[in-house]
Amino acid sequence: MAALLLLIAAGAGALLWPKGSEAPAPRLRDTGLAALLEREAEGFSRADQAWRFRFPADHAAHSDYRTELWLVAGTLSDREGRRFGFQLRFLRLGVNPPATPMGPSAWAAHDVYQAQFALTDVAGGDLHSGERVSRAAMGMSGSEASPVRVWLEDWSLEARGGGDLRLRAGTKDVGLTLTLRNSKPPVLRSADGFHAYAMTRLRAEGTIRIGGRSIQAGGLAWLDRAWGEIPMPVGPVAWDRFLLQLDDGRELAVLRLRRRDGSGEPVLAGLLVDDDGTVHTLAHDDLTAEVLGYWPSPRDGTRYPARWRLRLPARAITLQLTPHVADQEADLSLRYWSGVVEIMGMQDGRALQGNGYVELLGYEPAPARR
Amino acid sequence: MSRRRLGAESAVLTLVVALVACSPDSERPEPPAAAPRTALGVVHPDPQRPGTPEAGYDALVNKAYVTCGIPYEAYRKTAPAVSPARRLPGRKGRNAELPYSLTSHVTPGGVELVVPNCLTCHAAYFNGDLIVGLGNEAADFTENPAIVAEGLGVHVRGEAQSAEWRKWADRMAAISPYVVTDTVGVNPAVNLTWALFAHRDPKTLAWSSKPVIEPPPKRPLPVSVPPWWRMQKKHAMFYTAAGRGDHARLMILASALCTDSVQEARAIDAYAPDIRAFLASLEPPKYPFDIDRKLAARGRPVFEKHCSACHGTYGAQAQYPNLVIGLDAVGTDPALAAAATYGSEDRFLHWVQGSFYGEISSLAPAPGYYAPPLDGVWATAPYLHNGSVPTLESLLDSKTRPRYWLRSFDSSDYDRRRLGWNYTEPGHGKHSIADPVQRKRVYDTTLPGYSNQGHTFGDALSEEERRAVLEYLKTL
Repeated sequence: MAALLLLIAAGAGALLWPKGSEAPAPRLRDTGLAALLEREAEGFSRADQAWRFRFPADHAAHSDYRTELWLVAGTLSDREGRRFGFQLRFLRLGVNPPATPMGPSAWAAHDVYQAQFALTDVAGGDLHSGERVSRAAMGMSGSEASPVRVWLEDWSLEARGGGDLRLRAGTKDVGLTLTLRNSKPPVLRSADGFHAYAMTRLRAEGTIRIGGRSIQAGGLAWLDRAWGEIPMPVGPVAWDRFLLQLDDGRELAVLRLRRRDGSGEPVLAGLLVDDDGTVHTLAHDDLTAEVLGYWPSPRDGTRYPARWRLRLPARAITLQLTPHVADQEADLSLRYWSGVVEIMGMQDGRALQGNGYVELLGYEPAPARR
Repeated sequence: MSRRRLGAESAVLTLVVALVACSPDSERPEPPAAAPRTALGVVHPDPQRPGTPEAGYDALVNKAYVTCGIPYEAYRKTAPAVSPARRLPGRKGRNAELPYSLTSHVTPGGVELVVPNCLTCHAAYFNGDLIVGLGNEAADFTENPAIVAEGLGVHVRGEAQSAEWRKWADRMAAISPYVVTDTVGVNPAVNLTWALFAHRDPKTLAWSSKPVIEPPPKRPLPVSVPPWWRMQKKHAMFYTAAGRGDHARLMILASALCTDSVQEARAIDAYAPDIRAFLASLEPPKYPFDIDRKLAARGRPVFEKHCSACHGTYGAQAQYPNLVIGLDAVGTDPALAAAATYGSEDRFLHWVQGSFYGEISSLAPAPGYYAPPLDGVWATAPYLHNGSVPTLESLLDSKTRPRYWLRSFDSSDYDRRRLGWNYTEPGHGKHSIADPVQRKRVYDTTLPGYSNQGHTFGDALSEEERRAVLEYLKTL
């Protein structure tokens, strides 16, 4: 049986975590996304063979596959060193296979898009976030091949000349416009029901709108892409995911699978990308992940792991992860924690540092105490 | 919870001590019964239940004797495309679309699962052709199965399917400490079987998440998977002739991952004699390349002079002596036979004795190795019980055996001169290979249980005689 390589795509599932009865998810219910996911995959392509990746073409949607993810996350700072984190996520759900004839309605659509945007203001200790859902009709959302682009209203990710990407997103209070320039070969994976790639080190430059001002900022971002049968944490297994960018030019991705019912032992997998783009696959035994502290959500008491120690014993690497802001809980149609963290670490007596993006799925409110 | 359980255990213990203390002086505790053994030398036949080969093939490829596995929907999401070369004739319904090594099973609760079948280990490719009954010497048991099972969990949906997945994943987690090999191609079946016994009550076959007897050592001893067609001639199963009595009853131990009651075991046992009859009806494949018939004819008397005493004769009036050879005489890696007969595995042999499987069968190892029949031997590389010798030529000339060797695992990468797999010699052992993929693929004969020593009976042959014997072996 092929080893599972879930590192890249897993985040999409965050959108559809079923909530407990105490925490209804009205917008999610209204959009019916959960119901869409349960539909049969018949008529869609299966990612059961190797894929020949091409860029920038693969940045656009692959509508003959049922689900598709775009995630850009990163950390920025302005000239004064004021730090921000951001994430923009598009999820495409195929409602009807491309071959399905559509009715005459202008609202008829093959796809539904859902998007989430968040900006973390580290100095202000704030998280600004927003969420949108739209069917791919009447130009409200969609993806096109020329120029390569995915959008939902005025949130967009599009290819520019020279392999760059342009990101735009915002809410009433904040906005972000970034140019992203890839600096490493993409990590490519075709396995386990989906095709995926990651650009683990994008140099980001652009403008942040916050507090009525526009700020020039730059930093690093990470692009995750996947299409096919993207895992969703609606079954017995949920996961924590770490996308870490070290200042020495390396990146580390770690996935920690855990059973929702608490049985069994969590399982780890990872990738370490060297400065020159060499990718090392890390197996369960190559990694350890330790929770150093917890953060209770003020909204419903959900107890999230908040600080972590990751170790790669064979490489003598130890990394400690601390959230830049404790409260980066996405309080959208789905509640989960996803945000930016600071990395402090050591390798063979040498200090390591960097920033990362972490998402924690499938944590639920503690049962009410009597 | 755990404290309460501990309390219950110590209460039971106290009770036992009290009973022993009260027993009359005349009643000494019985020493444990000796574990069953098979003597070296000739293995005599045991009666076998009759069966129908055709019904056996149908059961083999269509019935789900392993009853826990991956929910079909999750499997379907992640499965690679199945090429025609991975399908088998005679498969019905859903099975027709699955790869040969997997079978569909619908649980009593209505969840469709995809479960492994016997052919996972007992079918393999030779020169690109799938051969049912050929041991799979390219299977990779170096991955931790618990990790794979947890990973598949991300594709599982719904309560009923989750419960089925959890059952399977829990079993995989329980066996995982005992079944991870360090070399691609070798099989951990022996340790797997012991680990499953350790988690089951022999009387009820009920599964226990905690071991009920001491599990086996964590590191599996490597075994090569023998071809099924040897069952025609062999009076006992397994390398140490441990499989005695009714063979079909022992074969269904392959279901032990998920058979949780005597009733389930009995249902599988009802058709097992048909499967045994099918295995015993299998003929080895015909050597697919050219044979120098004159040279082969010259090899036959050499073979009969040097080899037949243990391995029998072939052709008209074929005879097979069914001999188990002692470790000193054969000289091959002793670890497997030693573990089986020096007492360290006796608890597992006793387990069988006290179980449904032991009613008409037993596991009774001999302190040596069975000299197998050599039908189709050219197809069964690598050689010896641990798969430590890549070619028949090296098997017959011990000084040419590679200490460290690496093959491509491509079934067409066959050496027609030396009769075995083409290989390269990395020149150093696993410990000095940094690349984990390469490390797993290198066979390192310096590791415990992996030695290529012994069976030096071909060393005395002249080069010409050896060439002739090799040519003759192509005709078997």
